[in-house]
Amino acid sequence: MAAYSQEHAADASPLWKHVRKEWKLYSFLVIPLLYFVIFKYAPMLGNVIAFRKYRGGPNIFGSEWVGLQYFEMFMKDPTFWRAFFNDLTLSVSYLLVKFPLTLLFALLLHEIRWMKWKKFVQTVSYLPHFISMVIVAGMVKEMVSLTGPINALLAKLGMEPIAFISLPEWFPTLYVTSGIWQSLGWGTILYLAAMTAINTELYEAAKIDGASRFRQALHVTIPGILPTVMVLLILDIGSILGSNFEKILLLYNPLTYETADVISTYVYRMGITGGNFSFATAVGLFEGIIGLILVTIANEVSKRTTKSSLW
Amino acid sequence: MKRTKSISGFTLVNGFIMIVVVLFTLYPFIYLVAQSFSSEAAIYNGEVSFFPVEFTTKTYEVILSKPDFFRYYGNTVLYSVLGTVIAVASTAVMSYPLSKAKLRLNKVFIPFVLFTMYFGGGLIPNYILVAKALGMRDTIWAIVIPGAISAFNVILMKTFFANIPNELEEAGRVDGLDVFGIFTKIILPLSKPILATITLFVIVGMWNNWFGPSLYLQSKEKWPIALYLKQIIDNAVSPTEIGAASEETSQIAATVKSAAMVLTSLPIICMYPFVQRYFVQGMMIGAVKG
Amino acid sequence: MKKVRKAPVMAVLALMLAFMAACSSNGNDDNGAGNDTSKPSESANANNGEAADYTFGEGQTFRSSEPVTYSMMYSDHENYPYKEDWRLWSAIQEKTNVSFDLSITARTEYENQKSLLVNSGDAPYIIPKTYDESAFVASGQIVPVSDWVQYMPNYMKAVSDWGMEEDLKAKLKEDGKYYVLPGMWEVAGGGYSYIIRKDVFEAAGVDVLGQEANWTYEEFYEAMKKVKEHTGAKYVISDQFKGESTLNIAAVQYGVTGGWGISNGLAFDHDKQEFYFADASEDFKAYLQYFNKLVQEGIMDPESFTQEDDTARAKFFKGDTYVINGNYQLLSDFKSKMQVDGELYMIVQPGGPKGKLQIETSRLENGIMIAQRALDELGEEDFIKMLRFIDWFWYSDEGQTLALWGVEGETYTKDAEGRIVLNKDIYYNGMNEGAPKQLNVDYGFAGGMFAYGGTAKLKTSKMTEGEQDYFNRILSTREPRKLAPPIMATAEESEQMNLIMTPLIDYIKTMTLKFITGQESLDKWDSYKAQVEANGSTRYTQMANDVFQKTKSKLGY
Repeated sequence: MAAYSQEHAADASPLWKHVRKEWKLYSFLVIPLLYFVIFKYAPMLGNVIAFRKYRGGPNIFGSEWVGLQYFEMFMKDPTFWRAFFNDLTLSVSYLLVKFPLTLLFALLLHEIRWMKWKKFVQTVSYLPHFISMVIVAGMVKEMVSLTGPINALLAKLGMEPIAFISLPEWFPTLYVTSGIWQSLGWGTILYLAAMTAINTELYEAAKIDGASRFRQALHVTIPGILPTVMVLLILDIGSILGSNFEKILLLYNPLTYETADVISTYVYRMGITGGNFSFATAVGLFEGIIGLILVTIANEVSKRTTKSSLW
Repeated sequence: MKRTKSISGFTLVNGFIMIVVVLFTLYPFIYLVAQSFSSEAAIYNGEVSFFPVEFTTKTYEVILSKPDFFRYYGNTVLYSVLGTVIAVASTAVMSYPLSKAKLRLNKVFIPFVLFTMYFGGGLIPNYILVAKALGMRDTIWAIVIPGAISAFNVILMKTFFANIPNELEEAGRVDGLDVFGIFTKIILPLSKPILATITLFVIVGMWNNWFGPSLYLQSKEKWPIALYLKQIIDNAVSPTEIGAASEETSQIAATVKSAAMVLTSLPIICMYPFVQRYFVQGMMIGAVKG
Repeated sequence: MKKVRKAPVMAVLALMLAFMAACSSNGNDDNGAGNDTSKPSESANANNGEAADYTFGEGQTFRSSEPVTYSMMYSDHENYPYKEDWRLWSAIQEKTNVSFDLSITARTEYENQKSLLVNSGDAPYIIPKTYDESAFVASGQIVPVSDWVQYMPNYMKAVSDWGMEEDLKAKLKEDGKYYVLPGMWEVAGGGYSYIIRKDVFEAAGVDVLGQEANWTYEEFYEAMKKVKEHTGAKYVISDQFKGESTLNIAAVQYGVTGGWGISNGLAFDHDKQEFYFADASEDFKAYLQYFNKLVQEGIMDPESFTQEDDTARAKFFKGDTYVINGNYQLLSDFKSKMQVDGELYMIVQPGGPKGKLQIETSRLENGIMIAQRALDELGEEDFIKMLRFIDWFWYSDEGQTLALWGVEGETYTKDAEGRIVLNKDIYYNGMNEGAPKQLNVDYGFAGGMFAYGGTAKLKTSKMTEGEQDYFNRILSTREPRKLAPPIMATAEESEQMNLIMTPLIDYIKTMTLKFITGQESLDKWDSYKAQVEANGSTRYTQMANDVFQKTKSKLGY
């Protein structure tokens, strides 16, 4: 493999010598980096069709420049803005519920002394993370259907049945609850990992000071995992315009578009179903750029306030 | 005295909370299983809650007696195995050099990889690339290649590799191993937890994948089980197609969704407790520094 | 598609090439629709005869001397899933020497896949089962087939013999061409209506047979109300198709659009000769009020709009409800599935404020698009050959009979008067109830992909007596209606109009259901109108009218 020719042929510089010396290790990277170029960076380049009219080829980068035409179009489209705000609402409400619950659950798990029981709870609570979104959505539909267990419970309480799946006001609840179901356990793994890394002497010292377990958690555990908390929070903020596309696509219907339609599903309907490739790409690109900006801001803020950051 | 009491009180409350969490997590599974074994009438009347009502195995018999279901299942197994081999191998190959601080170009490569976690081409550019530019439409490659390496997995594995003591590699070098030998004979055998973790992630991702196949695979005979399951849930599969005789159709229609969901998730549920040990270990080692 | 699988390494190279191609060619080798379709040479321009290597023509079987294969999209229907060994395929091959390279796609994924394939320029040559080709015209990937129909003798004959010129106008686009070969019937069909439990209606004191011809929706409501009072049922109608069919056929009588036929929400005022936005008009309000009343009074199950078809049918079969939307084929099917004794009957569609109109006025069905690729890759001569095959299979009496009934002597015979008699052991469409085999499931004939056009004789041949009766009742008691002219927009205009329409119609669909089910009060009508306006209804209507003004001379207005 002519691997060493792949990078900077900066003649006779120390870097060149370095590459030459380590060429075997570098050669490992050739195919994977090529993979990244093709499957990650080429589609980024492909975003150019947001500014060009795509006509099905032969030029896969579109046939003529149209500038910001598609951006102007979607900016004027009330449906886009509805999707935009739905995205925000769903992600923020999910984040607000998930973040404290996961942290609390991790702290409680950490306090369990009976190891077998702890193990069992962990095993069970991680499980939903591995279940296909198709099944998760199917389960949600079965659980909340008019003949399902939730409505059966309502009936026992003497209440009228509720057609959850077709009522827009219920969609955020379904979205958040099923999200918690899927990720509550899984979300604790990194916290638990961080907790085991805390120096046990700190706990000893706290005990000598007469701190209760609650106070230990407050003054030792939480500060100990703060960097992890911050990193996860940054990641979550970065994806605040990235509500769970697959789940929404599987769960929503025209009756619930009002609260359920988000940017990615809007892109799907306009692009894949409607065949408006360029328009949909423009919307997707907009979403991607906002996400990038958000994660950068969150990272900076975190760097300044808590000294933990992604990069 | 007061202290012991407060602890036991807390333990009780904590235990109670944990039981609630366990029930909350398991109930949908219990309900699905119960429903899949219940009679049509019981389901339409909403009588099923924890246990099957008017127990019947009819639906399972019908589904399992048809070759269709196994064909989709087989496709999924094929995609999962092939996809996992490709993904794990390439992730490992990539992560190893990236874990070496002495490689100066990593200063460029690592951000290059990391950036893809925060930004990417959208749905449509990806589709055009895979289906059109690469001509992978309606082929297995469209399923197993585009998602093979994820930046996240690379970072996890790179961190794990970086924590393997350098002395071990030095020992290998003394024994006359070259870079490739060190990688395969020393590093990989020491990395079982992280390999198991990534394998699990990828295999689960492949097993559950339906959106990619729905875009790229037109031929129904190539569909994975997840996509077929979606059709069942959307009522786009008629009971007759599944193989029901006409007098069974309404019973099948009532339970086919839950039965198919049970059958599809079963392998994952069975496999998962055995690898859990590894992935928790792998996640923890990989993540603490990452 | 069974194509050679490119190895990933090849894929890498391909991408590199694509990059280069992208940089060098700025779309100048882009094949725009029709701009390079210099009028086909005269050589092959005979209406009957024998070209180099195949026979074709009116009343003559298309036959290629060499075996040929055409790529085609295929929508796989779950009720008669694709089988490779269907007699259909071998029969076509025996007669014509043509086989298909099928892209088999599940029915539910068909529209998405079609959109993806066509828009990315990779569509198979023949794209059947196309209900609305408008969205594809702008892509330049579809052949303006009207430029080529002169090579299709059977098609031309049907057009002139049945007087289809007017009907085909509905398919014209801005350039005065059409892009789809629609299925054509000599006469329009009966279409969807309401299947009712006649026994129950009569028991409730409703004279169904005597009155249905005069029913408007209001009177139909009165009748259903009587049924509810008489039976004490929770609901009289619990609909299938998520209410789409009911909303569609009722919309016609109210002068609006809805359900399956919602289209773009426009209606055409034939006096003023202009479009207006019907789905925010007073007519639309009356239409919503009607269904809202049904729901409010417990006549219509509010679940009608969300439940799965199986659930709706289960209620009907069990005798919990007494009305359900359907077509005649379903009625036959339902008879065998009833779990209670009862007499099923298909009423003619009730009338409404706009009169007692026939729903099905168009004799056109969904149709076939031809990919531009086919012309590019086959070359003109072979392209015309393919068209002549299509002409034979979809438009000749022989081809249509084959698609519908199969092979004479194997699946059907002809009686003394030349009428088609299905073999006794084969079930189809309510004929030969209880027969062990099914014409579509076991043989592949009579499927939705191919069998949707033909003479009046062929059409009635597939009707049971009951259906013929239904068909005749419609013709005798319902008036034909005038159709709106097509909007012949340019690619640019269509694209813009599409972008307005998609979200606008989404909104209307959502609100329709909310108003009907009472989730939103009709007091909010004004804010609905304002929102429709904000979504661009006026702009859309304006654009439609501008287009109409520009093109009406071509349409003969």
